[in-house]
Amino acid sequence: MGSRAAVVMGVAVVLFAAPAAAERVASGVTTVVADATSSPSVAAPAEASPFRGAVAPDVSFGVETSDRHASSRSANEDASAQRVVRGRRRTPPRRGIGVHGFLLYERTAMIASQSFDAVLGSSTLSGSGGGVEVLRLWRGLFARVVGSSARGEGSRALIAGSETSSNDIPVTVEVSPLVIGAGWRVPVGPTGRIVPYGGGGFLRLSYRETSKFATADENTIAVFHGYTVFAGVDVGIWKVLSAGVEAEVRHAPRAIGKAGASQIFDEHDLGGSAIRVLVGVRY
Amino acid sequence: MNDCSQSRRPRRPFRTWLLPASALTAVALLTSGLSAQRAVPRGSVLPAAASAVQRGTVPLSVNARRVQAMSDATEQHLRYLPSQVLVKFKSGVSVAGRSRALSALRSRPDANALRWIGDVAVLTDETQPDARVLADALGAQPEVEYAQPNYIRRQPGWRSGAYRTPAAVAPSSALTPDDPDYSVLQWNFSLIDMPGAWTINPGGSPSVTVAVIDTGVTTDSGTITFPIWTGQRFEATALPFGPSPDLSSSRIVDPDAEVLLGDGAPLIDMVGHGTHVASTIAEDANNGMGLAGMAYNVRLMPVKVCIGYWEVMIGRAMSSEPGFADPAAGGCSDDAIVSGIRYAVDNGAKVINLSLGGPDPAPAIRDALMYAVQHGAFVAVAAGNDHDDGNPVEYPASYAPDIDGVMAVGAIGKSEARAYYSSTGDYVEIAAPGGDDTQGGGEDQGYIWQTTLFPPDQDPTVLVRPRFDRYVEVGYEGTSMATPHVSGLAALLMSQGDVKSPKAIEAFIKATAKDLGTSGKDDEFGAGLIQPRAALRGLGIAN
Repeated sequence: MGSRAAVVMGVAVVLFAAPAAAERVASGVTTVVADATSSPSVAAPAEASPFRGAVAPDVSFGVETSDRHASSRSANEDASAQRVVRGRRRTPPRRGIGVHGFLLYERTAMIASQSFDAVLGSSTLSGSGGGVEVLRLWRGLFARVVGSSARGEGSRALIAGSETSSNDIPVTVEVSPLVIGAGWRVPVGPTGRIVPYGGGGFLRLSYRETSKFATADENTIAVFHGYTVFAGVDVGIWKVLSAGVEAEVRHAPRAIGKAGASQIFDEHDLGGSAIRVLVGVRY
Repeated sequence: MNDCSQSRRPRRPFRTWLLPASALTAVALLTSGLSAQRAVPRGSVLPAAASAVQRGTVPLSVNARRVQAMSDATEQHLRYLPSQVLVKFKSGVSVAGRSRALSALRSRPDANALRWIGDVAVLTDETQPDARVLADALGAQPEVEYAQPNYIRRQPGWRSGAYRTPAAVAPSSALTPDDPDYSVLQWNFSLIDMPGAWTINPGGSPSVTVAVIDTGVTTDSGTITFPIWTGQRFEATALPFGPSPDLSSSRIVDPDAEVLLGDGAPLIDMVGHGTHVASTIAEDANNGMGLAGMAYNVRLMPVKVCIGYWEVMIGRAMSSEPGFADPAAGGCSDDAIVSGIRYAVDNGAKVINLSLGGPDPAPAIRDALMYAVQHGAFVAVAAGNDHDDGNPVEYPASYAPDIDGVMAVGAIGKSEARAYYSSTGDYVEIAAPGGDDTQGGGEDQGYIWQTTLFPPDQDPTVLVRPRFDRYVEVGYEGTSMATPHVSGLAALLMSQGDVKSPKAIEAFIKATAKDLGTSGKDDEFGAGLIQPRAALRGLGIAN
């Protein structure tokens, strides 16, 4: 499971690193960051860049670096540097590691759809939760811990072939995933307010299924493990306030299927596909 | 052919401690002329319950011809009623076509004289007593789908000979029945964890009606007067009858007698088998008396299709035929079974118990079973008790695998081994406790105990004047006794949620059964031993 998760993480990093490289080329200003210390002549595109007054934090760091080495350069280069420095006044101050805290609401379509549908009357669960991300660990790299809990109520069922009947015994199901993961954030646009991101992680899935009349050993209270991949877009709304949407695919293979409806339907994965709405703050 | 209790196994001696008290009490009651509603002290038989409608002496209505045919069959050792066949014509055959088919018989019977039960006709041809000849001749006609003799089935169960008088205590509200003899005698319910099942569904719902197609359940009390052969002459005899004190009359609905008694006459069980089977399904529980049934809140529909020695004796007397009948006389004719199944379905029964069977094919009963399932009724059928008698294929049990919603039930004993008598074959679909006195535990743990008629009151080897108004706890064993466990479970399932389909009931009873014997389905236990609690709990997602 761990190796699969690592592979997923790797794929996620590759997927999101490629757009990041393309972004560096497109912005021009970012090019300064990469090249200013070694080749001043490359600073010219930054000078001509229409984005210099509103560069992303990473960019301002690069310009600052080139400015420190300007004394031995030509007047034109100084003037160019001055213009950049003037632009720096309108640039947000350099930011290091950041934090993003958020609350979320999600709808999850369970992979074991027939089992959930038979018992709960629906194969989707609604849940809420929250998480914390540590941003800019290295460039766009971030780490996250996200927890949520979804709950469904229905009744235990009698299943005979394609025929499913309710037997009016209330059952409550709680699925609580906890994800420890990492990903890559890629600010786009002139303001950097829109930040697509993606990643993956390890899944710890707490599952609780209880029903009326059940003895203690007839209920299921267990923890399963798996992995997850996710992708989303985070948008800065006002000052530190942000909102976003995110899709996540979770897998907890071999978690169920040994009894109950999941055995009848030969469904073993307690994972699902979630769509989330996130609201939070980031510094 | 299955034999009934009296002929198959020798009766066991009465329990030594019980015999004196019971005998004395019986003698006292018989000689004192006490009314049936008299309070009887503990240690004696219980009188019949007082019914809502007290009948005085009621006229007896007897289909003497039919009973006489049953008597004749017994005396001639036939497995069918003489001269009678059940015929089903192919779909679309006109009256003219039927007449043409009937012209194959020597007597050329009139097609308009056929008696119809649904789409099956009953033909009586007095010119040919061998019904097999009639069936073969008709079956060869192109207009006929099938023709079969009017076979006689038996109730595969044996009475132990032991009985106990019901005790009484103050009722309580516990889910485990407070019936005083429950914990002593009803090992069968503990074996399948009925207390656990009752925590989920205590006794089912009155909205579910279970038809017991058997020897009947007495629904009324009073006396009937009929002439009876006393050994020298016919004497008019007043015969008391009454309902079981542990079967609430309010839960008995739409009783029907397909044999013996006609319209307006009370339904009377003169054998005790039907009452025993009905009591396993729905004997009153938590009333501080006697024993308990599985689904003690459901309604019972007794449908009398089987008769015993005393009905035959009555029929003979009505025909002025002197002499005593064979003690083994009686049985259940196929036409009555077919008619009884259809009656039960048409009158709202959702579960049908058939604790009867025999070795002869019965396509007419197969059609009736399909009719039942198509109309939403689940049917449990006894697999048969003939394992040690050549283990023939049993009917109608062997039709069960081909009809979803009909289950053939084998029997196990206390040790969860197959009961020695329980027939085996690929048609056995499920197993339930039926009792087996060879598996240890003595009489208490060897039989299925329920409240039914006081056996000495009907003993044909001793009595000439029977009575049917006193009840005790009697131990029986047989697939007849296993079958009502499945019917009771089906009734509980039908009482719960939106579980209504017979097909689903069967599938779920199988799916939750405890596998016994060879892994997976086998010929001894089918899917295994019923697990009522698991079945009633149903399925969650992961458990």
